[in-house]
Amino acid sequence: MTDFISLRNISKCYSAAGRSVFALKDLSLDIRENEFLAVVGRSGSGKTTLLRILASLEEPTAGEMRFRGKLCSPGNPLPSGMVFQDARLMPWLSALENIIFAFPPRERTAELHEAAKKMLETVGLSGCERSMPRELSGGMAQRVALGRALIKNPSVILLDEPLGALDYFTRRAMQRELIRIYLQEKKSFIMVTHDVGEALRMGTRVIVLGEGQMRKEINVDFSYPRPRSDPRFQRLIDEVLDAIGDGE
Amino acid sequence: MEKAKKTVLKVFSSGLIFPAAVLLLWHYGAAGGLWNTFLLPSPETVWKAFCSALGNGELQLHLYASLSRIAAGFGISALLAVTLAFLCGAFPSIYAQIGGTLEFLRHVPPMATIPMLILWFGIGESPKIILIILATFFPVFLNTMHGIKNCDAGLLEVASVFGYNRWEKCRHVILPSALPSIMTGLQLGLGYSWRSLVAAELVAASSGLGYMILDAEQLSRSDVVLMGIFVIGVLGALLDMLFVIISRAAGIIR
Repeated sequence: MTDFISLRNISKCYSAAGRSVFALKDLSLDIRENEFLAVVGRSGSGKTTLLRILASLEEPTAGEMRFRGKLCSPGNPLPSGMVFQDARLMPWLSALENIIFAFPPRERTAELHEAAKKMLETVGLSGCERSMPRELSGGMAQRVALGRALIKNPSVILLDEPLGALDYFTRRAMQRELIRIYLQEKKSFIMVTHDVGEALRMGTRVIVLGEGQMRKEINVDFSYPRPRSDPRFQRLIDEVLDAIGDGE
Repeated sequence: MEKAKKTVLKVFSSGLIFPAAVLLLWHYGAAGGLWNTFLLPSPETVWKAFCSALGNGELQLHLYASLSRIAAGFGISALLAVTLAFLCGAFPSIYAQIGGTLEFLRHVPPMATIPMLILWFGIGESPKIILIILATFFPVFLNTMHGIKNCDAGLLEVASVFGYNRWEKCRHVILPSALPSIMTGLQLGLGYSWRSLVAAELVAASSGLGYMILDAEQLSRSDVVLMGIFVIGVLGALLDMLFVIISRAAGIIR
């Protein structure tokens, strides 16, 4: 048992049209420090709900979440940064200002401007400080969103299908970029994706969710980069697809 | 040849042809006796009335009085409308309580309230300014509400993830997101304030462009009436342009 992040018996129930629907059912999960956890599953399997509970955007109906042994609550959330599927940049702020946005004004310091510039370099966007979101491509906007999530130096980075809206080539480039940043930053990354290949290419551990429960857990213990032609990669893809219920 | 073509195109796209045609028709119609120039004096007579009012300082006096009323009425109204819209946006229970009353008031023409305003506030500056406030309030309020309601919930979630409190979300997400709508409301409100000016200066005024027009009507000076109408129209358009220029410079609208 780890004492980094632990989820115990988490359930989330939504009421719609007079009936209750469980997005998560009695889910228990331990998340390790510095791991890249990829969560896969079909639509409606509870992946995004899990991430939203981790980000304190939603409260579980039952169960508890602890960070380093301390109970998390709306007043004591998990120290995390989040990247959404759409970059969600403030359209009236420049790339640099969007990174600074991670800090509410009461938390801003004199050094923040320089730190934000360095963060833009980290995500490969030096020189784009004054660019407005409408001037950035989808991949560039996601890099800014990633910089915004990283600058607070949170213990956990939550990624909600961050590459889902990108074209194939940008997506592959961003996958490599995310792996580079993951290896450089030494933080826990938790990424939700519906792309099994992406999960296995990036995650150090992959969990499969189905109907709000954990169906399978796979440790991916071979190093980056992980080419598709690698037989181990193919075997793991089959395993995950079987767990999702799409094995052919 | 190509240059001449370009010049013609430029003139056509400048928007000057229609007003120039109206002005020429007006000039030649009045000079040719097509109508009674007592009812519609020639453009030259209106221009003379303008120069005379400008020369003796009368126009500046009326302009100052009207602009002061507009500044007070529009300023108070904009402040009230934006504040109330933000309160209604932040506390839906407030809107639930006053929404119906506001909807009722929205459909009451401000001019219909003149008798009650005189009864309650006398014939000083107050009823004139209140009339402008009533005319300006709703476009600003409704557009601000629209801007607040349409603030992207995703952006508010981002602020939540980064620990913004309610006030900080309001100041750093909702306000900038609603700003283009607020500016549209203010722009419309400014136009409405000019439109309500004559009605406001119907209330026992002794100065102002509205008063000048009404006084000229009593004296059967249709040239001064037309001059007053032109001054209001041109000033309103100029203020609107100034508003757009300032908004663009501030990066609020593009």
